[in-house]
Amino acid sequence: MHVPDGFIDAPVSIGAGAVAAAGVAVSLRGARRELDERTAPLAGLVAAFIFAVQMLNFPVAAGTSGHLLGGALAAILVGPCTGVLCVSVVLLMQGLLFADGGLTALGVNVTDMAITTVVVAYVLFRLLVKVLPRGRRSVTAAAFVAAAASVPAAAAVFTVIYAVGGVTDVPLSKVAGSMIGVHVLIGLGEAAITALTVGSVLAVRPDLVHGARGLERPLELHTRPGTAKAAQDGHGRPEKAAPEAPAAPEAPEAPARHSAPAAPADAGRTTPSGVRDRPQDAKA
Amino acid sequence: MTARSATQRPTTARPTTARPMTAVRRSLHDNRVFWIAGVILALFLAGFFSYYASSRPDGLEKVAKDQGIDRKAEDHRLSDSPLAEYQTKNVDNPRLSGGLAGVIGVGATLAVGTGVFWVVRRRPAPALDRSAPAPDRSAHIADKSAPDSSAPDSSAADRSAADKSDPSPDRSR
Repeated sequence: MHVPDGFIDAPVSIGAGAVAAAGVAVSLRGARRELDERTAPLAGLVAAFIFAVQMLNFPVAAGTSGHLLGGALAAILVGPCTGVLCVSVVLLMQGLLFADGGLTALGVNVTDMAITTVVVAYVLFRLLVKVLPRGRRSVTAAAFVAAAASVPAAAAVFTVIYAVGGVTDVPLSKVAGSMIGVHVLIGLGEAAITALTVGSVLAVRPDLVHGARGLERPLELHTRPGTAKAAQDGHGRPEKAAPEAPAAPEAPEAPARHSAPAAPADAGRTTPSGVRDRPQDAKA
Repeated sequence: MTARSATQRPTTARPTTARPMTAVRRSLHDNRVFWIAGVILALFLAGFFSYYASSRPDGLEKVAKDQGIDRKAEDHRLSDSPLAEYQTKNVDNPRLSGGLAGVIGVGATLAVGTGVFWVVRRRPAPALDRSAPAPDRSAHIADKSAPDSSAPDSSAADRSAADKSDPSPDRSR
C-alpha cells in the first residue's frame, strides 16, 4: 500500500508530512512511557519483524496481492506510541533503501499506514478487550478484529488524501469502492497474521504483550498474598511451588486467589478486584 | 491472614533475599532467548521465505493501475539504488538477490529501530517506575496488615514483594 511519488500533489503531501511529523513527535514522547531497557530491544525486534513480514505478499482475489501493514500488531505487542514508531521506521527504511514508497509521499505513507492503522486498531482493540471476557483468547480475538479493521481504515484515509490532493481525476466513488473493497480482503490476511503472532507471543511470553498487561497485572497482585501464605504454610520456596502446588492445599483458605496464578485462563473469576485494578494499570 | 503473615514475614523474606538477582537475570535471559528467536524468524522470513511471496501488484498498485490513479506516477528517486525493489544489484540469482536484500533490510530496520527505542526509553532512574506500582501496592498491604512492624521489617517485606512481582509473569505462563 506504499504510495509512490506522483499520486498526491505537493501541498497535500507536505500537509500529510506535517501530520506525520506531529504524530511521530507525539509518539516519541509517549513511547518513553512504554519503553525501558528491557522492552526497547524487543520494540526494535517488532520493527524488524514487520519489515520482514511486509515482504511476504499474499495473493488475494483477482490478480492482486496484499501484505501486512503491521500497525495493529505493533500497537498490541509494544504499545500504540511505540507502534507508530515501529511502522514509521519500517516505512523510512523501505523508502530510503528499497525504493518502496515515494520520498515526497513519505508523510502520506506514515499518516496512512503507521498512524491510521495504529489508532484505529488500538482503539478497537482496547474496546474489545474491555467488552470480551478476560483471557488470552479474547486478546487474540480482539487483535484479529482490530487488525482486520485497520487495513480498510488505511484505505479510506488514502481515499480522503486522494480526494484532497490527487493529481489525477478519477471519480472518488470508484477510488473509495475499489480501494476499500480490496483492502477488506487484505485486512483478513493482516488479521490472520496479527492474531497468529499475538497468540504465539501470548503463549510463550504473555508478559511481553503490551495489550495484555491489564490481564496479567491483577494476577501478580493476587499471587503475592497467596505465595506469602504458601510460604507460611510450610512451602519453603513459594516461587517454585506456585505454578502447580498451591491450588490443592491452600484451596480452603482462599480458593480464588490461589487458582488465579495456576490457571491464568481463569482470570475471569477474579474480575471484581481485577476490574478495580485496571485503571491503575493504565495509568502506570 | 494479617496478623499471621506479619509474624511470619522474616521467614517469608529470608528465602527470597537471594532471589532479586536470579529473577532479574532470568528475565533478561528469557528476553534474550526470545529476542534471538525473533531475529532468526525475521531473517528466515525476509531472507528465504520472501522468495515465495506473491509477485502480483498489491492492493493499491492494482487499484491505481485499473483506475488510472498512477497515470502521473513518477519513478522512485532512488530507483537505481543497490537494493531497489528488494533486489540486490549485481546479484543475478533471484533467490540470493532477494534474500540478501531482505536480510539487509531486517538488519537495518533492527539497528535503526532499536537505536530509536534505546534513545527514547525511560532512563534507569525513572525505570524504577516499572516495578513501582506492584511494590507500592504490596507496601500498602504490608502496612495495613502490620501497622506495628518496624522500619527494617517493612523494607524487607518490600524487597520480598518486589522479588515476587518480577517472576510472576513467567509463572503465569
